[in-house]
Amino acid sequence: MKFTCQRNDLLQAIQTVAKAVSSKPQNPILSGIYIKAENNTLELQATDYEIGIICKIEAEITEPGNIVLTGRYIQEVVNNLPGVTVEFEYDRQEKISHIRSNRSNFTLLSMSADDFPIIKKLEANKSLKIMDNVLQELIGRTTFACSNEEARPVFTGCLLELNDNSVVMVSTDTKRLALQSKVLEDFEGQGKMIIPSKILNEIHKLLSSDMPRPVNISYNSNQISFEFDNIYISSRLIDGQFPDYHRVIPTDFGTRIKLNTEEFRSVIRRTALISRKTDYNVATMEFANGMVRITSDNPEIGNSDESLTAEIDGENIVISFNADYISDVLKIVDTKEFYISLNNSLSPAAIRMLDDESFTYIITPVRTPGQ
Amino acid sequence: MDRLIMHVDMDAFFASVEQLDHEEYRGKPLIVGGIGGRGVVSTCSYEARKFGVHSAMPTAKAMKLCPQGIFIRGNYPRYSEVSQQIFDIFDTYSPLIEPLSIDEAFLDITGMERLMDNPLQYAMKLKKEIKEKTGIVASVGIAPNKFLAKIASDLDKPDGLVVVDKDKVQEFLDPLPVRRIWGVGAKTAMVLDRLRIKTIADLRKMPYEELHKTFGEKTAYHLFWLAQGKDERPVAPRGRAKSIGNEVTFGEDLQTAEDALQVLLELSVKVGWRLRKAGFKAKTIQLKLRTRDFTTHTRQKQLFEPSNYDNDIYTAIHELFTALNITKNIRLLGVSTTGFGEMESLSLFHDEKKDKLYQAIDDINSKFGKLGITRGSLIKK
Repeated sequence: MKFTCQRNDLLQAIQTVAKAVSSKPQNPILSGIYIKAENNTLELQATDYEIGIICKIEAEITEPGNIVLTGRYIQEVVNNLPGVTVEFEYDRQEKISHIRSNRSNFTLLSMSADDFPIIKKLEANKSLKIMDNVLQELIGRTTFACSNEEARPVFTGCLLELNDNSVVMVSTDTKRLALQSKVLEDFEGQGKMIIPSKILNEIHKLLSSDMPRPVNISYNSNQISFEFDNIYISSRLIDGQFPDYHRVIPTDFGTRIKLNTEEFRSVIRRTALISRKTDYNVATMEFANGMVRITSDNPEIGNSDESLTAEIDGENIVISFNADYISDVLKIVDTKEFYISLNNSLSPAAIRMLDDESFTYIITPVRTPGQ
Repeated sequence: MDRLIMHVDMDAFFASVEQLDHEEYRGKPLIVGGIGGRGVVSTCSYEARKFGVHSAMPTAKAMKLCPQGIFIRGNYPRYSEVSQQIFDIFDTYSPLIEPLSIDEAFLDITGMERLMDNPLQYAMKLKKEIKEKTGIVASVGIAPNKFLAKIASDLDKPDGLVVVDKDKVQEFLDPLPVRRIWGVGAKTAMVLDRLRIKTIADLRKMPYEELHKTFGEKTAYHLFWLAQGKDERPVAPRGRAKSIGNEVTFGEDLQTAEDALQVLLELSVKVGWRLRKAGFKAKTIQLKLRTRDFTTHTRQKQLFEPSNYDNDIYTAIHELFTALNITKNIRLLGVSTTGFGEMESLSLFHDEKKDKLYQAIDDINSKFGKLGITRGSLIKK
């Protein structure tokens, strides 16, 4: 096997598939990246059995073939090569790969491609096409609210719900919930699946180009695949029942407060200097007389106390939240102002953007002593 | 920093209140407690103690020892009332008070030198104020820690006042019998007796390794430090309980996982009920298992979110028990729960139906006791 290609193309492909290389491989071959050279195309693959990624790039192939190289080393080597092009040659007798670029010369031990579990394209009965900017927003506004605790798998993923031309993505760690809805053109039918947040975050990173392009999604009852540009990603779906999220979104609120996003964001950032060292990272908010007063008290450090103007519509209220849950959502609020809607100090609150009904964030308060 | 702890204990509290309220009881042997066939003495006056009557003794036996005694059922609301008055007085003597029961408490008076001439005088003032305001006589012990203070208050009862100077701790402790150490019950005392350890001085001379071999780490550690008069436990003010748990020691060691799990389920149900009664939810569940050779294993687990449901407790305990993997020669099993945070991050998916279910079960069990609702597997064949 022998080929020449652009260093940057190869690096991008390696970095893309490397996301699926297991850090704790069950089997040595899974620490590798599979490379196949054929018809002037290089195909790279990696999988940890949960996720599989394929990436194709152009190359000038003098001798077709396939090989598996340890993901970590090939990535580090190609990342540091000096030249614009890379020459690759596999020596079958010695069982080593030569990698050359300018006057730099590497030989890497290789594994046999026969042992690699080639990724099979998903045999899916259902598919849809979604624009990448739409998918970006669905992912970017929800995965942050997923849980990291593997003990309850359904909360480590996002629920994707398809209902004819509406698509909704929901995530929750049981203390807060993020929901983003979008319109989906040219789709009919229903679908419901829980996608691991890990794979969604990887896709989010890969979809960073400015050119709008379609993403093809296929799925069956236990797997999903995403196809865009030169990339194919498949992942298992999370098995389980996602809780009925409609039930936890209050329909009415007694108080609605309009706040300036940037001002509030910086107040929370300062409050967190004190609150993040406490057990529940508690920031207490008192909404009254056109003002919100945000305090945090840590007996071992000190306290913070800050006020800013707020447009309050309804009853006055005092409520405590985990400051992280507030700052997390403020990272994605992209309107100048936003709303907090409340009922009482022990019931869930909603955060929504101004003139953007598509996003809803529900957050539970922290019950503090004496409540 | 050197600490100064005061232990205040009312003398024959219930009996004293009764004697205050009823002139006709004064100077007579008075026994407060259960009157029925299986009743026990809860307190008796010092006059009754002369006849050998003491608390926790079956009332029937007390009647034999002291037939001329006056036996009455307690008037508990009245005792609480007097207790409240006494604790109100405590409040003016120390900001840090740990109640141990209705009639005794630890007061931390560390660093309060400026408020008193000396500890002895301060204690006398407290005793006088209690006597004047409520008519009750208290015994007080003052020492550098809780362990010593409690021994001290008991040493010169009734109307006692003993101050243990920090330089005379060993002198004070050495002649005392080992039974004076809290946690040394009949069993430990028996083992110590076999080793010819009778006084705290004897115990202190025992090398730590020896204690460790005989009692296991926890008890050895406990005995070793207390024998030297060292006790770091802080005075913990009244507040929510720190843990709720139950344990059981078996007459005959358990030999199978099935038997152990059955007991653990029973304990989990009991602890869940106690948590719900107290209105607490626990974040941490702990399993305690002691084997025949007195090795004690404890394992704990954090719940995903605080709970007081039997099922959640048992699921965690089951997991801990399975992981510990000891199924033979089980002498003791315990389930305890902690982490009742003052704060709680509320859950979006709180299951109100489950709350109602447990509420209903608890209500029925409150009414019917053991005839109420339980799990099929807990019904003894």
